[in-house]
Order: sequence, then structure tokens, then C-alpha cells
Amino acid sequence: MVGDPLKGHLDPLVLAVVADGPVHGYAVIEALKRRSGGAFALPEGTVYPALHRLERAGLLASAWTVAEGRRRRVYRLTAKGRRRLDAGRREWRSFARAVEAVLA
Amino acid sequence: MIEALRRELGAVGIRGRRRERILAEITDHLASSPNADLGDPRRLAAQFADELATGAARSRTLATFGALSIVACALVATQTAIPTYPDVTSGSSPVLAAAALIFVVVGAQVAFVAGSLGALRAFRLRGEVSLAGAEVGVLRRRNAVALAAGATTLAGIVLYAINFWGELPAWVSLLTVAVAAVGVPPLAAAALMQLRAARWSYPSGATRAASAPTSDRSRARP
Repeated sequence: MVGDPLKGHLDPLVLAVVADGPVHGYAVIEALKRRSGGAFALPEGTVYPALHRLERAGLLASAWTVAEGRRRRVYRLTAKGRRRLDAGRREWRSFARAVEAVLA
Repeated sequence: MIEALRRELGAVGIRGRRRERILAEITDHLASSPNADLGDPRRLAAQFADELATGAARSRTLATFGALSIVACALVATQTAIPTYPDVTSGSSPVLAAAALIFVVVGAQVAFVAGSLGALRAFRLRGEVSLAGAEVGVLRRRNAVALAAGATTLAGIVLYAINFWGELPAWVSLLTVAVAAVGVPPLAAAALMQLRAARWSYPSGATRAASAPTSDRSRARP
């Protein structure tokens, strides 16, 4: 599942993955794929620009680490990001309930 | 891939530390997954430009508003310093006098309206993590108009002082030019920020298809 079905939901999905603990870009993509059961197989380049934007917005913070001899940028959730994620979860649940009520 | 992406990032105006960081992340990604398909480097660079334009657009708008506030203070200071307004025809040139008055009156009003609308829009969009390309375009145009009008106002202030140099007390003329000069650096700095941003070519907004917020607030005017 790529593109339109994810419209408006990439940010909370990325925040939810990063909320589990510090993580680098490749791991975010893998986690999205794994946790969605393969449904969210995003184009691999899509997540990096979003990570940069979320960091610029103060929702994520990042720092360099060294892993396996390579420099790696690791992202973590900020307090502002946590609040945004909580809000995103509430909005999604409300939206899902409304859709379910109509479709059921 | 890395060299092509380096070129494409440069082409959309992303250079320096930001570019090196992106390239390091993509290099690490390719080392973790050698067969990864990161897509067309041009499209990826365009997505970065697209995503990074949001925060930059807001900060440039606030910088523009700040610079215009200094110009407004300069205008008020010069006008209140003049003890008695000289007759319009008493200056060195009626044409210069008319130009100065038009520049000051029209420039100040346009700068106020464009700057205020831009700042108001940026304020209303403060909670948005990403803006649509059209929103960024509106902010850029308002900033450009406001800065041009601010520069016109400053030019009008200086023209006024030059035209009435002999009619106004010398200290008033000197103060007018000096106060106008104070407004130049912030205006130039804001214009430079705007010009740098113009290098970030704004793509089709394809990234928004996957990441745009659903809030209706971003569609509200102004």
C-alpha cells in the first residue's frame, strides 16, 4: 500500500515507530513494513524527507552514532512529538469509529 | 546513486551540511540494504526540497515582518522629527518631491498590507507540520511584495530628505537619512533569505500525497 491510501497518515505512523526508541531511517522503513504486515511498503526514499521535516518541526530530534563502523543518524521522539502522536492517535480512532459506523 | 543525488540536491538549492547529512544517511541506508531502491535521485531531491520548504517559509515570513517593522519605526521616527513640513514645491525638484511622496505613501501601505497578511497566514499555519506547495507559494509572493514595498518606502524617505535638504534643518535631514539607513540591513537580510529560498525549486507536491496533514485550517484564508 503506497501513496494515496496513506494520505495524511505518514507523520503519525513515523512518530509511532520512533516512539518505541531511538531508530535510524532504514529501521523506520523496516518497522513500518513489519508492523503493517507488509501493507505499508513505502518507496524507500520517501521516509527520509519526512524525517527531516518532522525534525525541523521539533517533533523529532536526531544525533549521529557509529554502528558497524558507519556513521548513522538516529532519531528520537521529542516531548512535542509525543503530544502530536497522542493527538494523531485520538484523531485516527475517532475517524475510524466514524467510518466503521457508516460502513457497518 | 550518491553522486547523482549530490548533484540533484545542489540543483534544488540544498547544499552544505544539510546535503552532507542527507548523503550520509542514504549511504548508510545503501550499506544496510545494498539492493534498496531509493528511486530517481531527482525525485528524491525534489521531495527533500518539498518537505524542507515548510519550516523555512514560516521563518522567512516572520523575518520579513520583523524587517518591515524596523522600516515602519524608521518612517515614524523621520516623520515625527520634522518640525514643519515644507511646501511640496519648495524642494529642489517637484518631480523628486512627487516621487518621494508616492514612494512613501504607497510603499508603506503595500508593505503593511502584504507583510501583515503574510505574517497572519504564517501564524495561522503555525501548527502545521507540512504545507502544500500553494501555501508556500502564497507566503513567498507576499514576502516578495512586502520587501519590495519596504525598499520603496526607504527609497522614498531618502529621496524626501535629499529633495528638501535645504528646506529642513540639517539635523533633520541627516537624521532622516541615518534612520532610513538603519532599515536597510534587516530588509537586505530578509531579501537574501527570500532569494536563497527561491533556489529551492518547489516540485509538484507529490510528497504531500503521502504525508499531507488533513487539517482544514491550512486552507483557510488569509
